[in-house]
Amino acid sequence: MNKKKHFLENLEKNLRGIPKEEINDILEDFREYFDIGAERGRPEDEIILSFGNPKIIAKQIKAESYIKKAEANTSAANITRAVFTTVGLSFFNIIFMLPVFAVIFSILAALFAAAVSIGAAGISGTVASLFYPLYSQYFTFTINTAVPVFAFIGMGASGILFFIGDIYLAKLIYRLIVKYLKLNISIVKNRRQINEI
Amino acid sequence: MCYYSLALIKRKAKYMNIQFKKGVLELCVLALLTEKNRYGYDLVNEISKNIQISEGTIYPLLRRLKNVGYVTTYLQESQEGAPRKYYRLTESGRKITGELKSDWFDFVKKVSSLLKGGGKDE
Repeated sequence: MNKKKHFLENLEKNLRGIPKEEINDILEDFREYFDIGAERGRPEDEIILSFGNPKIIAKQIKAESYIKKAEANTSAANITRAVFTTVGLSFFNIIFMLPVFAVIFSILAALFAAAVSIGAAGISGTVASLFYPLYSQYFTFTINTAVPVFAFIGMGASGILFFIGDIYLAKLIYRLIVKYLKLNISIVKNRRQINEI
Repeated sequence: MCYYSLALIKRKAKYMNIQFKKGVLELCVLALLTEKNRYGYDLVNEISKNIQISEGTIYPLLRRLKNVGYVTTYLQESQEGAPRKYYRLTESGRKITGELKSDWFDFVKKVSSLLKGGGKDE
């Protein structure tokens, strides 16, 4: 009895981080397995031995759970979590992939910043040009108000288009990262499973 | 450098081997479910008659099959004791099982003919 309890507690401890209902569901599965084993007169020790390491079982389930979640909804917190779970699975990858992720994210951030600045410059330029007649006496030259107004409206519009383009790019990168993580998890899982199957 | 890539190739081969075993295990589970709905213990029991597996891997595998929509689950009381969680193939699960099975038989046929020695022409 004690060993079974110990195994389930160990499994639960290692599953921490995924939704509570999912954990309960998994523990229920394993309890059912123990119960049926007991009905058929199988010793608990033997069942525990046949299960293998609860840590490995938990990691397989967790990795699967995070990827499922990341696929279901696009949020920065989810992707970060998925990245760290994968990285946690394999220290090897952190060395290679973290700088790559960092570079990708900074390029993306720079592109967003550029789009916002162009858009903001366009909008403020438009507004400023509209008020040009008010302070035209300060300029030594005179121009038709319409010229800068339209030029700045064009600039603002291209800033907005740029921003929309950035969103598409971000989505594409997100999908690629999820794909990469899936590949990674299958590889890491296999490495851990060498003696498991 | 050369040594490094050799080690990498060896490791890759090992992964492929594991991937292969995992795929086979998945196919066995799917095939057993085409006969009738089964619960986790039953599946392990059937597979263990022929192949030695680590029993803990069955639940991560079943969860994966459920996540991708190949199986669904339902609870059913049992005369012997605890209620069992049964796994049932979905329509897409049935379809993929058919495809995997025919892939498997095709593959086995080709490998066997290779192992018997020589190509078809000889």
